[in-house]
Amino acid sequence: MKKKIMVVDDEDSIRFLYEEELKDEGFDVVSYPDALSAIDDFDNQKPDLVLLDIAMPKMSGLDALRILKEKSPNTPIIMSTAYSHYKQDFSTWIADAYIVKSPDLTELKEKIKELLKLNA
Amino acid sequence: MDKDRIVEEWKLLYELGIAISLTTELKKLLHVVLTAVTIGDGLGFNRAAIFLYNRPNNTIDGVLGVAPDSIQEATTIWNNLKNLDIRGKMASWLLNEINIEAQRSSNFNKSISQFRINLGKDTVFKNINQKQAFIFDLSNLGSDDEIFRELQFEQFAFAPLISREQPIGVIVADNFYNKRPITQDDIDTLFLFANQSAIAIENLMSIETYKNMSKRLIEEQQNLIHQKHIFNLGRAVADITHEIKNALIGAVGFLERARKISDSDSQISKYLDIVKKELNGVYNLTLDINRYAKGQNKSIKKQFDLEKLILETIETVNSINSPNINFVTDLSEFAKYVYGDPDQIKQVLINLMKNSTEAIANKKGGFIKISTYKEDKFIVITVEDNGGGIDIKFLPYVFKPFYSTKSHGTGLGLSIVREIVQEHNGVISLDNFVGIGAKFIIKIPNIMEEEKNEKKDNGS
Repeated sequence: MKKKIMVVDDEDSIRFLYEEELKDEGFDVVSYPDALSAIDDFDNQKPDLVLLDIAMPKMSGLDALRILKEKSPNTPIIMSTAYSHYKQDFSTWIADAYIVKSPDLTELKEKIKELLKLNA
Repeated sequence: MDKDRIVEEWKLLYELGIAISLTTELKKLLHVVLTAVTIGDGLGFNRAAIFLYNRPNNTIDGVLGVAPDSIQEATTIWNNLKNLDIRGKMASWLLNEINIEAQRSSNFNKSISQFRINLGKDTVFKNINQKQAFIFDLSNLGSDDEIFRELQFEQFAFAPLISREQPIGVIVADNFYNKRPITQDDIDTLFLFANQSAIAIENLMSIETYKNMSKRLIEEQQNLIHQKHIFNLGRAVADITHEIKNALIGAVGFLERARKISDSDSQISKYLDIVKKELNGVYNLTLDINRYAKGQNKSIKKQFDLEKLILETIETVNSINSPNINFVTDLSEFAKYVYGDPDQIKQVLINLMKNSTEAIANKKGGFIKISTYKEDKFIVITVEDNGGGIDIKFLPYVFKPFYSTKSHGTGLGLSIVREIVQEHNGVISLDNFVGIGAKFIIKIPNIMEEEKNEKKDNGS
């Protein structure tokens, strides 16, 4: 069965890029432009992994991280942001991985496979 | 003292007083005062020096000495002055004719201005508290008064500078060249003059302090404005690069996809490669700018006083707990300092103490023990309690985020502790004694120690 990835990012083109690239890698992808709609749909979708942007309007990725981890501690969450300094922020430490956004998605794909234990 | 002499003295002091009151700069004032003490038509001493009392340090500091460097020089000066009729215009002469640089360059001034003595020593300067002037000789010197012997003060006048009942320093003067004995009249006049000078010196010192302070304030204010400006600029730059970066991620990402589906030998593919190369250049530029604009806001590691931090943290924890917790400490002097981020280490201590506090709550004779010691290349901190330990079935989860056995906990405490310790390249472990208590052991590399050893190795 295909693994399902939930992508949450307010940047339309980045969200679309993730969708396309991850579908190419053989994942099911559901994507959301804001954290609130992702949280609402979480129980319904039951994703295997969440890719979460930090700087978003309405609700920040840090708040969403806490809520999602409380909902489902065992679902891996990857924080993704343009800033690397959030790494020092306590509130990101509960995430399973931390990715600095880049046009090169190799690192992101590796992390996803590692967390979903898909590596050979 | 006869009547004529009193009138003469009064006239002299009046003239000197005018000169002093018209001087607005401290440095110049000291020269005016000492010149008045040393010129023949003034108080007539051969050499004179001012020492000021440094209240915060409880020291006497030499500030200026005025004297000719040799008997020849002294004779020349006196002969020149004899030809000048300065009676009656002493004030204007003092204000306009003193050669400050020449006076400063004398050997006498060099010795005086480098001098400093603590008032705890055995010294004649202890007499600055007296409200009178003295004629002293070698027999009055203390065992720490080498300067007077070196400069050959055999008999000298010692006139405390008293302003508003407080000693601010002293004028010392002698007749080194012509050996004229100092008389009671000499020091009476000197004492009156010293008092007049003291008030002027103190006033100018206050003004100088005030001037320096307001100058510093203005500098600091400008600094702040500048910093604020830089800070705002940094924020604006960060916002702009963030937007550019996000746009580029989308652009380059899709460019890459387009290139993949285009024929690799086609013109389109070549053009896309060029576009991608150029956009990557801009992308790398934003990374560089961001790296530069950051730099702050990271964890700040430094050598700090661990013992002090632990005691402070205990106080913090106790201030929010009542009744107070029974803390026991066993802090090694060899583990007094550690290299790390004090704020983060404090967070570690608070989290561990909080857990222990809950474990020993409502327990008779409960205590929390904090120990430090040095072990190989590590500074070790342990936090232990006798709260019964951790149930064996929870042990695998103690460091897991959001895992809590408490109804109110977030389950984050220990995972934060572990992250911080790892951030410090340290390790954390748990000694658990079921039914007795738990002991968390944190080991942080003793970086200072390593550096020292490296230096030693290089040196040998």
